[in-house]
Amino acid sequence: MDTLDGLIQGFGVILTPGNLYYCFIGSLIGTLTGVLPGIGPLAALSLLLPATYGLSPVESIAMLSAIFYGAMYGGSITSILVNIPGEAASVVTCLDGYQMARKGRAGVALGISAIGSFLAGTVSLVILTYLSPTLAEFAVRLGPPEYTVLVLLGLICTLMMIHGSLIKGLVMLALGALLAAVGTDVVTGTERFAFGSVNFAAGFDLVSVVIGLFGVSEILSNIEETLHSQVVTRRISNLWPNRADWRASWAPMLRGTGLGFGLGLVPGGSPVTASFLSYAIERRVADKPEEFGTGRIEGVAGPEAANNAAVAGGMIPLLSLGIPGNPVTALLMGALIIQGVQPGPMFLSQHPDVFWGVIASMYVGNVILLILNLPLVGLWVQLLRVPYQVLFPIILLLAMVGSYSSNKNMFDLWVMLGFGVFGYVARKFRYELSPLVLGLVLAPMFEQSLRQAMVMSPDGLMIFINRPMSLAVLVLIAAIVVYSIISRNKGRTINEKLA
Amino acid sequence: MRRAETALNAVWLVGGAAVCVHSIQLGLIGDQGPGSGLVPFAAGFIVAACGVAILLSHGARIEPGAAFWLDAEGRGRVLRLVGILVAMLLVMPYAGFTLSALVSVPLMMRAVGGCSWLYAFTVALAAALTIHLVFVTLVQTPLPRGLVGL
Repeated sequence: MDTLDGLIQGFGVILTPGNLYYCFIGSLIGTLTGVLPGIGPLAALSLLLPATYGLSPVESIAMLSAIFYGAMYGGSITSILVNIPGEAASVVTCLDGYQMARKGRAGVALGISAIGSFLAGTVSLVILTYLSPTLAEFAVRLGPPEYTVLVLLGLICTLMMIHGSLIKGLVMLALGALLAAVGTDVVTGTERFAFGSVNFAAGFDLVSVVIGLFGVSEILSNIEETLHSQVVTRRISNLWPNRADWRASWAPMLRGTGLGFGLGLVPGGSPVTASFLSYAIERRVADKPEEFGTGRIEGVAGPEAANNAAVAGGMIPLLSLGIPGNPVTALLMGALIIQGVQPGPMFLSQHPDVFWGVIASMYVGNVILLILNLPLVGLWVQLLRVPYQVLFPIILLLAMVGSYSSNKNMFDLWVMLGFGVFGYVARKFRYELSPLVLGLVLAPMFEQSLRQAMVMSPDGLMIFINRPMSLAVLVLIAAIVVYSIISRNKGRTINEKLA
Repeated sequence: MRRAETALNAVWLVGGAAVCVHSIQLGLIGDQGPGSGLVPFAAGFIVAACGVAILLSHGARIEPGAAFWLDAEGRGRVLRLVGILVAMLLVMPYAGFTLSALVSVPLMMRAVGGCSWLYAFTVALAAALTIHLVFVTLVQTPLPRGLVGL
């Protein structure tokens, strides 16, 4: 079956009332998640994951991935209108989007943001459609040694993508690996760090950890500050950009798409990183960089395209290799496994209907989001009137429902609360939370493939050198590490000179 | 803040070292390659080493006057919420999800958000009933039912 036939089969799967309904619900919840500050796409996905247990694989992944890119769409609305980013990838949109709104160009900013998101999302999906099956065909030939070094590459890239302190990021990654080790070792049957507790012997549930780290800790951080509900009085008109706006925006959108998609492919590369880098690039290539931050449309078009493109890019390693590159795709992988579908090289050959259905659902979701976002922008803004004092207890109740329902165990609720407090403290000390989740997901994959590689190797660790593919990845890892050390030192030297 | 960060790094150091010791007991190398303790040992070692590294570098860079809490009111709100959540989880196995939500949500809204009792109870009733209806009745998500069965 070639790619086009596969995609047509996918549309056949997704264009049924049931699947369209879940795609629509996901888009709706995603936009809502993006609009409301204090609940990001990751927390929303974790909360809704248990609700997908009764759905088919296509329905559940269509809904969950729509939440992911829906949040990217929705996050820009509040950034532009009230200078409050609904989620982290829209922080940078505040800089010029809000200034455009203050100048009476809120409609154009919203319009270019939605159109840029749609175009970037669609272009990235076309690349995903063609690249994913090719990569999966190639990945079938990979064995445990190659997987070991690929997962190692994922762990290294996660570290390289950390915005703040590398050492603190390393602590979080290692903590994630430690948490993954808690429980029964599936190979030897040995209990690790269980200390005689039945709950610890079962290990930590990913959903509870993620809800605690991202949902509960966010609420604790928010209530420490006094929050007021926002009332938007700005008039929104003329959503469609004029000729000058288009001329200024097409190149940033294109650059944002390329950058976002590329970063999405790299493990650890997130929509947040993509949007920040896109803004930095647009500022660098602009003829008048000093005007950035005063309402330049390029400062909205580029980052908004980049964060949506990164979502599609991030799906490729998951679908083709079975390696999640960020916490959201880690949860999507969890959802697929719960449904009895193992993402990776065999995904396409074993479940072509699900594979193509998921890809087709993203095309459909993008169209739904464009329809939901532009005409209904006024409605979304009204949601900001809900006081946070009302919102946070409801989010906490939903978090409890999400945590409890995956294992029906009270222990998971304590895990959620514990990680909520831990995440709150970690934020205070400027520790990034994402590396912990990636450590939790990638470390067991690394351990398992390392063991398999060692079993099949007569020469111990030499198997990684003797096989060309794993050697190539090892060389790539070494190059990334060396480049990172040099560039960080260079950055430090420049900072010292500036100081 | 500096003292708190020093304490945290000491936790990394001691905790990481303890993990390493336990990992060695689990066995670093097994009959067929890596033992059960290898990956935890590596992770524990990294945590301990990073604890030392931050103590020596980043810890010293924190401004002496920087505070952990934004202000006393903020601290109060956070501690009250955590306290209510702990109490809610302790009661939940006996009272069930819906009943404990009916009691805890007004407490949260009152103690953290400063809302009136009437408003808080109305929101709590609406939220608890909606969640019960959507998740328990419609989606059939299992939730703690407690002794009363709610």
